[in-house]
Amino acid sequence: MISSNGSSGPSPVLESEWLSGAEIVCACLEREGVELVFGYPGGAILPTYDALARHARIHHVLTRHEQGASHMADGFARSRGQVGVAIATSGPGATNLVTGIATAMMDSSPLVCITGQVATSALGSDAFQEADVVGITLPITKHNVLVTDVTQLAGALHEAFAIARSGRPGPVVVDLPKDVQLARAPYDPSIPLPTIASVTGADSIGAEIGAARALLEEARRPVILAGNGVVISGAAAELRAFAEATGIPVALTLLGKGALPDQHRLCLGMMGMHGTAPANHAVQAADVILALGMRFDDRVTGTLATYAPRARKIHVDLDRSEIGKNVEVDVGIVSDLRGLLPRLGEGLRTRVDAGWLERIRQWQSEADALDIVHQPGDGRLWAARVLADLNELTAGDVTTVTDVGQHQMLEAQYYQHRRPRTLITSGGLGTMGFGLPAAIGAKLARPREEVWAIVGDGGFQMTLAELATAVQERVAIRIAILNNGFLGMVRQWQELFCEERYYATPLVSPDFCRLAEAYGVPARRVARRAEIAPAVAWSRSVADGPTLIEFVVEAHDMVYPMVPAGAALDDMIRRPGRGLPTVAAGGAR
Amino acid sequence: MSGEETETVVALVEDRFGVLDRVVGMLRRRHFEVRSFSMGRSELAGCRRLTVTVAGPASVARRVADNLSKLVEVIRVEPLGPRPTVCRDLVLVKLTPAAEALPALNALCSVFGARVADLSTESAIVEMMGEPAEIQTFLDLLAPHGVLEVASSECVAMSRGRPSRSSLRLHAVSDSDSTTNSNQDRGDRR
Repeated sequence: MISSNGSSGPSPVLESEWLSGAEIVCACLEREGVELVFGYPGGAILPTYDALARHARIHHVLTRHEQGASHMADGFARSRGQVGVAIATSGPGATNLVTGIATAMMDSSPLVCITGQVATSALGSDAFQEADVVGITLPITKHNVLVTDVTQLAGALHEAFAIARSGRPGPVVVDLPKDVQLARAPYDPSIPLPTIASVTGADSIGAEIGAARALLEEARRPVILAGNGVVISGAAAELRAFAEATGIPVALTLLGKGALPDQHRLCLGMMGMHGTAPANHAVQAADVILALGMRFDDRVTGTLATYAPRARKIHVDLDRSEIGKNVEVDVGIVSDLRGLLPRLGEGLRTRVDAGWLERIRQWQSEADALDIVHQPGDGRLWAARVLADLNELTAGDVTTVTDVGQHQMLEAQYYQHRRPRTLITSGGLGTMGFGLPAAIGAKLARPREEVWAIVGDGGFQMTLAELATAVQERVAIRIAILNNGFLGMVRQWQELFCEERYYATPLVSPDFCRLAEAYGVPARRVARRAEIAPAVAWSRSVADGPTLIEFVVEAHDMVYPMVPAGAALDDMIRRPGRGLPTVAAGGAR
Repeated sequence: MSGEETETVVALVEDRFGVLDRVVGMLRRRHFEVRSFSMGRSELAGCRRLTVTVAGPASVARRVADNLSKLVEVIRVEPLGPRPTVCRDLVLVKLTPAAEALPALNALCSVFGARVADLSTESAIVEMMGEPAEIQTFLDLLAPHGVLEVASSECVAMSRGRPSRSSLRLHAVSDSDSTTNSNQDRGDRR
């Protein structure tokens, strides 16, 4: 619900309180507590930039591409749990935001994107740098709006913030024609901000809670599936208390990492296509599943035909349309998790089989035996080793921001996150090029947090121009490129499913260290395990700007386990044999 | 069409710029199979009422309703389900009947409660209002009279009796102290 206590029309104000649309934008941003915006100027947004120049409390980060602005705003939003703001001009400026907006939409990240637009008199005439931004972003935003009347501007902007951060968060686009930025209107800085009522799951879900409690009390082999909703809701402590009180093990989605510490005795790690074997086995063998703030994504379930066949399912999500969307459930509860979990767990008498946790431990030790980081070294540098060492060297206590591909899955497998909001990654859309800009946004959101951008040689090259942004803003992120000379995850699929035809996946890359130095970023190359710790220590010693380490890792590497597309979740391809994989272990099934 | 399972959802939406786009865009994006779509006036100024019929079982109607309710402009959603409803479609049919066939055409119209809305030396326009299935039968029987054009309003539907509050409430109750009914309805959305 959007409501405000005051009247929506402009109240009688003094002449001096008439502001231009551009000034209203700045005033609204200040009122929303925005200190940082990411953007790129251009003709149609120039009045707003000119106004920003006079608002010292809002710092503008000039990116090198609008995609970088939307990813930075997204990284900022995920890191801090507040709305991130991106600004772009009309036409190509706005269309360049699109990938970042879709990324935020898929992962429920709150953004407000302000785009310039051609003057209202030119709308629809194919004017210079005109694009139908509202039309283009309609399916990838939580809401969008074209403001054609300056008297509606303040209301539209505050509503955009309210919508972006409320309920299941998401991106909102506000499209601003140039003449609306220049037109003047009365601005009342004291009008009440719109609020959107949160769904708290009050009395109407009592019956569902009762049904869920009954299922949980009957369960002998239960498992909790925790997703991004736990993180967004701020319910990590409630989840931990619930799991500990009930003794139910917890598997995490990729975006759920950090919702329960990986080190916790009840944490099974990530589930899904590249999830841990214990997590995937547990889901398939469970008799009751309690899914919390996750959406049964295809990368999490494997084929639905055989998904969790023995389990009765309870699904809690704030978004009603998620319940029953992919997986039929026995009990669906529409609620925010933070309030619900204590209510669900109060006095709950669960009787988890002692043998259930024992079975899980057994799956874990089988998995450990196959794990490449438990094999004796052979002189080659495996990507998994880099991430396992980084985890140890940083005590699992930094924020990592990844790109998309093999390194992303390995990060999720080997980096042991302790806190929510410490893994920032494009889960739903799988956007290559996300890592570097999102890391810049994440670091600016929490300057005291140590932030590592973990990227591959492919994704890094999609948005590497943002190195210059990091230098200009002196953002002390630590960039780790895992360079295997391939688009590694596609190469992996080619090895397994295309008879090793490595077509369009080998990459010829620049010398990343010299490239970094050209940008003014100090860099080191690591090709042997013994060099990892000194390089990490060096990077951590640099406080006044970004650093880059290029890890030259084994090219023909695979992420195991792997559930092939269309297979059952426990039909995992495992690392072949005990001992090291041979180079190009083709058809390793 | 015959034998296909369909469900109808009605919704009250704010008449804002682009709302039609937003609703249709959602239906397309989620790949619902729309069989009928109509948006027109409602009892409230500034609001329009939407009737959409989709192929599939009640669970599909529920998904349509759930996704509609996420749109900012949607105030209220009601999947009609098995409740008694009134459902009507208005159709205009342009014909070229032979002079000697006019009595038969008139007889056909009176059986279906249709009427001749326009008659000229070249053509006739017949109008009929009824349930979608009746309309189809009527159109089938008109075929021999030389149908030139058909235009239809698509189905509009309404549940019988007073709308029950609980049937409209798609989302868990909000904890806000909203003061108006319309706010309460909207508060259920997110």
